[in-house]
Amino acid sequence: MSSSLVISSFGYIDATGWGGKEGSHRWDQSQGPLARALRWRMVSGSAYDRFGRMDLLSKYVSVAVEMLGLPLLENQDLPLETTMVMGTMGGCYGADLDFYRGTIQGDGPSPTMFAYTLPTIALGEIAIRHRLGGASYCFMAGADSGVLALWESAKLLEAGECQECVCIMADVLPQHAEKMVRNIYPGGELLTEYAYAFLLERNAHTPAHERSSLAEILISSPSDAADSIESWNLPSSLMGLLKEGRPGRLDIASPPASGLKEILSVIRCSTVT
Amino acid sequence: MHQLISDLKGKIVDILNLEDISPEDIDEAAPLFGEGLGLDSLDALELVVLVEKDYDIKITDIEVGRRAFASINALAQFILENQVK
Amino acid sequence: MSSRIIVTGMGIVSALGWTPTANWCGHFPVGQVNGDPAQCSGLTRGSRSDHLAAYAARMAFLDSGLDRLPGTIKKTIGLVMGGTTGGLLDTESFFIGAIKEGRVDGSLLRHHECCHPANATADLLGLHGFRATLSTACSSGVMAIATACDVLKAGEAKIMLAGGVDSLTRLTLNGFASLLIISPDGCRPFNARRTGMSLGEGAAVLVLEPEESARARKALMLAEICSFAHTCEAHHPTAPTSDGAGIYKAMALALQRAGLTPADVDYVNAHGTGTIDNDLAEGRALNRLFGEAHPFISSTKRFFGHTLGAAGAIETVVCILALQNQWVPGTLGLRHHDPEIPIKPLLSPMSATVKTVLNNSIGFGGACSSLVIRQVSRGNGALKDDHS
Repeated sequence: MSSSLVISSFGYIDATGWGGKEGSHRWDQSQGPLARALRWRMVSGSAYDRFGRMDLLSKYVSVAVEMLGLPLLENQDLPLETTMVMGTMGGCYGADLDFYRGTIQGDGPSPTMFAYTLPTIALGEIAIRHRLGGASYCFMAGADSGVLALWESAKLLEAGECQECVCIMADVLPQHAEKMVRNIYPGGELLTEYAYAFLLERNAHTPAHERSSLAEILISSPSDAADSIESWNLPSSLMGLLKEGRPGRLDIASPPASGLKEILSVIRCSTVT
Repeated sequence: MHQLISDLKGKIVDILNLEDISPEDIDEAAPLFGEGLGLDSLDALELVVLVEKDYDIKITDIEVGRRAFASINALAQFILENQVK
Repeated sequence: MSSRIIVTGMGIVSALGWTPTANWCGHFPVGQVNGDPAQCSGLTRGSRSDHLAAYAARMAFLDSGLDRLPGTIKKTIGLVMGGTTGGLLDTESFFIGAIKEGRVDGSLLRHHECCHPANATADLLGLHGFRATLSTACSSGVMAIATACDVLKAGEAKIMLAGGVDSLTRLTLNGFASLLIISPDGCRPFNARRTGMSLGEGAAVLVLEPEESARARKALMLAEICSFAHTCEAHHPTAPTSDGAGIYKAMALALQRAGLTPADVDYVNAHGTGTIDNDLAEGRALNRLFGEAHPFISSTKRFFGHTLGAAGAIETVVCILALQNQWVPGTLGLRHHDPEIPIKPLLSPMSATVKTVLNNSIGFGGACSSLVIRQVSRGNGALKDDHS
């Protein structure tokens, strides 16, 4: 069993609000959909001039990662040891649609909108803000996207490919696309407007600002674990476990067809340090 | 010219979704890129689209665009010089 | 497991043709794959990307002799694909119908997902091992190959297929045009007064396995994937830093991980899209790494067009063909070196001693990847017969 990995922070945003380890903010839905009303100042209290240009996926990912409390490094060499791993089912479907709408009905192809039709741009944006110089992975695996992102994050850390990993699960899908998604995955409540970010670290890594751990990650063989959750349920289950702040455990089987015969367990202990 | 400058400030804030800036805040003589307003190369391309759509001036060489977009004043001057009446 | 990762099969389809030989010998400007991929992919339905991916994967599968393996082993084979468009060509019809005519035909979305080519291909070939799709813009192909190597090194699979695919779409054509970086007369990488990139489509897939596995089943060993590195430039969504710091770090790290120095490199297949910014940045990075006495460098983008998510995989096939044939490709479209770029890429192909190759891919979002590929010291290095 390996216990060298921990989750030291989390951040989230969805239609109901945003928050992280340090606290949360509920969005008053009588003010309209958060997706339309969202401004950087609401989240951070400071200005961030890149935010207004972003598509919704990049905005949500930026907010979720901001909630992690990563330091804002200025003017220094990019550290290579922080990797970014994202899992998204729909990717930039919304930005694709906006691009076509603009091209057909609007002012023609928008260069900015085109840039954001790649999900990897969301990772580029957080890299720019937080000066992250390591590898960036964006996995698209349907309902298993979140599970794959978490597993790949753990495997990269375990192999020593990085010291920290920002693991992101995100999807922003317009209404009609939700129907498409539910046609493909009839079972389960898939999240279609959210971004969750988790900071995974190697236990031996000592960050400059000394984060304490919220949960341990263990990878073990299946016989040691209880029933694992459905993969489509991972993002909300994992975020629920961390938000609750009480001891608890989540067992996650390796992604279907992964060839892995292992279970990844996230163990939330109030006394983990 | 004054009206054109005022219009351009409003359009730039609008199309570039500059959240924390109002048109009155923009100094028409200040650089648009790098310092000043801090726009980037993608924003420059959005301005190319704006200039074509609203003023019927097609910019196909980005170097021409870079000179035209040096500041709001430069852009207004470019439009006045190149707009087909 | 510290075994070397060996390439034992490859499949490719691009505007140059449907076989490695066609892609090696072709010499005309390109873009679209000629012919209908749906006619020869083996799939009964799917998007254009599905058909391209399935064709290339099936070619690699047969090339490597995997069809002769027992079913129990075939089932454990995995697949990692890189790509950016998925079924977008079909989805476009949905968007256009919905926006222009208010017509909503949900059936057009059934192949939309970026992971659909990998899923359709795995189902076709009966692969039930590790499966993933990476969408990291133009570095997707190299990242897919690297991820598959990681899976093999961790002992989580014995054989993996890996590659990239992308089809031409109106979105990419219009999008790159809106960035004012499409050349009106074909890309001219590293050329003075170059005017931008060309777009293309295609797919390439490799079969990868540890050396022990390849030897045990007497597979033909085509090349070794020695090491790789990925970095993020953290500078701008679409533009590189002027000095190419990200790709410099990726190349340096990849060589370091391989236990090699710049002096060991015989040939670099540059990303070299033909845009003003990329070629200048990458040229500076190459100069910083190699100095004046640099190895052979070329960009093969004009042969295929920039195939986006497939580019890294297609260019890896080119690198393997260079190792097999002891010949380096020239830079089609390059006539006059840009005096601002401090390297001198090859204009024309030539025979050369090629043992170690570097393959660069740079994607939007600052994603920089570099792959080190080496000749296998034992085994037949001859170009195999095509599967036409």
